[in-house]
Amino acid sequence: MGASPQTPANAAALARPRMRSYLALVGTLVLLGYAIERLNIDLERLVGMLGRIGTVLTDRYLPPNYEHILQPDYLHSVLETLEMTWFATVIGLLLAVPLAWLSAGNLTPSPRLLRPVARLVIMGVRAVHEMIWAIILVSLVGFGMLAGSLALVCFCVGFAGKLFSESLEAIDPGPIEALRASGAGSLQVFWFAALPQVRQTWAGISIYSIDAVFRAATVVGFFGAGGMGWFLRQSTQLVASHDVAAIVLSIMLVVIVSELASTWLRHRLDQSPA
Amino acid sequence: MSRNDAERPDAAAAPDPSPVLRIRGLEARYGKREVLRGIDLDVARDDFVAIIGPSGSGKSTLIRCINRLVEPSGGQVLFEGVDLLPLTPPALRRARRDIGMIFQEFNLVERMTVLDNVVMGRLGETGTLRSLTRIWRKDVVDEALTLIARVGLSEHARQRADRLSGGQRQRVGIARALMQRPRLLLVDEPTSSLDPRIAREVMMLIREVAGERRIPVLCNIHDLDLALAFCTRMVGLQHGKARFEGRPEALDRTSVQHIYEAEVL
Amino acid sequence: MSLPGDSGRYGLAWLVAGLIAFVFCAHDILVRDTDWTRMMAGHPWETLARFGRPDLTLLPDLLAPALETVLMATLASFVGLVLALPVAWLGAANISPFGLISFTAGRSLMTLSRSVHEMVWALLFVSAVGLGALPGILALAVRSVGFLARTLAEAIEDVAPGPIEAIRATGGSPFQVVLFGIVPQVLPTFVGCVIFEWDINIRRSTILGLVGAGGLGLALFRQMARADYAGVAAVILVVLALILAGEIISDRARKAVI
Repeated sequence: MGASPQTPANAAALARPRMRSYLALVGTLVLLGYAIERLNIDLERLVGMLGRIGTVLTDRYLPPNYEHILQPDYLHSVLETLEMTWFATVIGLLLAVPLAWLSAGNLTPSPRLLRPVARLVIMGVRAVHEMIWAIILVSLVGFGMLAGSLALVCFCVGFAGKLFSESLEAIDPGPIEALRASGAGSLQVFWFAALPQVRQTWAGISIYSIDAVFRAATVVGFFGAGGMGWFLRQSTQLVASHDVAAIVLSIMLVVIVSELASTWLRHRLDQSPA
Repeated sequence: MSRNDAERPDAAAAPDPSPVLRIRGLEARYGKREVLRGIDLDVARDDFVAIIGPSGSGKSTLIRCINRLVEPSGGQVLFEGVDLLPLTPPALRRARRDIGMIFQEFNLVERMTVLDNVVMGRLGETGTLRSLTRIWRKDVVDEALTLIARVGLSEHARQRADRLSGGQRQRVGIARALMQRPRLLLVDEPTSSLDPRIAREVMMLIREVAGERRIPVLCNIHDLDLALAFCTRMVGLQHGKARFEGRPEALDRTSVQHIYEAEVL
Repeated sequence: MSLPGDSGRYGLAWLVAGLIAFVFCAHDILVRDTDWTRMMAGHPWETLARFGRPDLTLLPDLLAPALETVLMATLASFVGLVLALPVAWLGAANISPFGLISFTAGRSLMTLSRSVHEMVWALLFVSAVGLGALPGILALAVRSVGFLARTLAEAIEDVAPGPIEAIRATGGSPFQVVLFGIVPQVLPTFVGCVIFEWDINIRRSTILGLVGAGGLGLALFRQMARADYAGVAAVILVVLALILAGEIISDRARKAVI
């Protein structure tokens, strides 16, 4: 066979890329250690944490006060939450479509000017957490559903805008080229070459957005922006723990129902013909 | 490799007719469908047995029933006199170490280097901690590098497997199987994913390395010409039964037509 | 807007129903619930204008909180990743250890994690471990588990069976099958998701000021409490910068692992 035994130098060379991943591992551990140190995290508080959570749950939160969430005021706030969700999602999606079109690298009519602006808008509304939007908007337009709805619109634009734009950038370039070659304008290209390709994906994203917006809508009220969150705030401040437990459970329930519905709808969508 | 070199067959080495692998009445089913219906087959020390037959005839299942990647529903698989079918999982894993396997789709771990893939032939003898850190023993690495040189991939040893062409990947698969120091090679359609010229090279390589080490080979193959060119014995499989068994010279047109009847139609 | 079952007459019916619902919602929100005269008395445009002039003199003071925010998001993502591994193992149909029971348990944990908002998690952890960065990090970590575990479980379910078969054929143990057959295949997807989640956790950590976790969240709430909108805008600018940087880093990192 005649193959000479390998020199150690060769074996060492083979080990080098692995060395890098060990260094990365050590680096990560050092970073985590530094983070714990810097943030003053007292790891001793973790000891027995699960037990404490259990005690807190049984002593303070259980049993949930179900009457609290069956009172008409609270049920009305659930309806308000739904209204804010639908209102904000519709507006948010309508705003997200043009933004996605402008920010998609393969379709934008203005790559130098409007594309960066649109991308910045999408990233900007995403960078700010929906609760922060709620606080800001409450300070602008006062307590109530309007502030919450506007916060949710921002959330929806960020959420759907990013996904819309990514799905546009992933489409088959063939039809775009074909239409451009025939002299179509960029809006026509978007309408006739891009939209048909992403219709199904976008419908899925839209359903997903309703779900995500609803999830956010259940808590934006915490700062007075309408919906169920306000009740959470009140009972937390009053340390009415049994009420808090009931509210948290009701939030989980509605969110899970909405998630199941959204999963079911998207599943059905996947199976329907394009 | 010197160990194997010493065992290289030369004119003086007497053929060893005692079977390494002895299959008796092997049956397998998927749900209600019977895939293998009583297969009897012997593979001797110096055999290169080709299993031919139309797709769906159970070739792949037969190969996989031997090392129990597919669980047979009945019969016996005697490897060096030991029946593999009743073995417990740990005992089966030990038995599998001695049986190398080469796959149609190469089945490499694409994101790892050629060397890592070849060393993985030794996983059965590698401890958990060593697997986790991937710090292989030096003699294992050296042996892998020698095998990589043997299959002609020395320059690619440090490349990721997904950078290689199909033929090169299959060479890695062959080196991985040899790394096990197997006493039997199971080969499942080694050439179906390759173009004809490369396919021939790969078959040649398998026959050479198996001959150097006197490893018996059991090989599924769809391509009749390749089977005729490389094997010492052929088994024709149809509807889960052996229809023909003998030397390639003895295979005449009628038996071929008989075996491929379904496809000719 | 294309709706499910969008075929001809059903599509139109959905559209009309959606529009009617929208008008109803809009009426409730814009007319019944909003007192426009009172709102205008608060001069919202002037307030908005104050947001438009971020107080840039604040920026040097925001560097340390920004670092803390990044560290919090990193820790939270790491803890979330560690917690997600066993959950994904339970919730991946093809490797779940005790069949349907453990699969259901895994999937339920994922749903639980995602269906509770990070705010609610934070409140819960504050009552267990007190105020500070710790409850915030735990909240984000637990909130991250759902998404991370689900994508990991789905990646595991999509793994190509070939390498697994090959490793079993060499006599590899079940652990080695996971280590060499599954891990290399799901690693790029999973790392991508962790980075994505890290990016989101930076965003989320801004509300942890509520539970006394430091970082930009705390700075934000301070400015907010003083109604210093120019300061709020400055903090938001820093968050934006972090996320932009995060996006660039994550893009690099994702290319490095693939």
